[in-house]
Amino acid sequence: MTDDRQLAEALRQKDEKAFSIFVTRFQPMVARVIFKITGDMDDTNDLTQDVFLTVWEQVEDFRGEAALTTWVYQLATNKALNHLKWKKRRQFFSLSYWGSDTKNTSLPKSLNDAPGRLIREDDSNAIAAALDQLPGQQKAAFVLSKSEGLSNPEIATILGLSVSAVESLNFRAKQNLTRLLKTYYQSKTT
Amino acid sequence: MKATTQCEHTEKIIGSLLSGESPSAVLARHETHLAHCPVCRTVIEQLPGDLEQWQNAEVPLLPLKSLLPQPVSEPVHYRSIVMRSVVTAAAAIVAGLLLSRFFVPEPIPELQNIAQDYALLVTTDNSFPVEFFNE
Repeated sequence: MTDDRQLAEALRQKDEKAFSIFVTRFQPMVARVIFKITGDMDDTNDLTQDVFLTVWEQVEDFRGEAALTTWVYQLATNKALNHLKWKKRRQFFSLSYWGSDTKNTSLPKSLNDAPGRLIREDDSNAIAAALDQLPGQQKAAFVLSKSEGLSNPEIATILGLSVSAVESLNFRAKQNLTRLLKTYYQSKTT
Repeated sequence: MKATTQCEHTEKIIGSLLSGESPSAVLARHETHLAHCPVCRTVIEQLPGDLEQWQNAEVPLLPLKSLLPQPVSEPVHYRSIVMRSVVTAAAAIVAGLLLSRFFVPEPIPELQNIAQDYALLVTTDNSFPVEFFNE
């Protein structure tokens, strides 16, 4: 069952064997994208489970117009972005948000708190720490482009945007990352 | 040092590396500048490694079993549970009332003796404070 169309058809028939093939094939990709967008391992585990539950329950929604991979990317990215929005809203209404100065920070967080430490235990990763400061959609566009190697039209389909909007997102993401990384490497030198 | 922190090459170098340009090409293009700018040297030494590490990061996977569909358990009908409890309680009350009507307990001899003694005491002993009970 190597063909995506065959696999999707078997999933529609609620074939559990096909579903375990599907999970084995797509879990690394789903977990990687969600982790790079959310930057949190616990959230990644929860959202990964959520993605596969959605696939099992809503596989009828997959009409085969786009590739199965694109649909899975779409589910993973949307879950991660919605989770970030929810987290931001919750943070906004928490008392600690108004008592701290984190809302105005423009620099990468303390590297010990950065999500990058999950990638490299002994230190942190500057890209992950800087990426954590970007707005959700810029982050998603950068992850899909630079980590997953997808083209702008593919990213546009996944995010439900026009190609020019994706180009703009990638441009702004690169601009913001450059500014943040410049500050980071300057602090490491001086 | 202030001159290096204001370096205008840093952003260009970072931008080129983020765009996917090879570190050797960037190094060749900015060679003269890199010889005397410590910030840009840090960037060219560390950013390609950080970028590669971020791109190739492996995320620990969940066990396959935890992602497979779980067997659906029988749905719990809370309304029927409440109804069943109400009917059971009502049946218990009716049964209790019926039993109390048909079941007459046998007199307990000790209690009978006490009642007789009390009646005798009230009628014969004038010093007993009957008013207390009459009140």
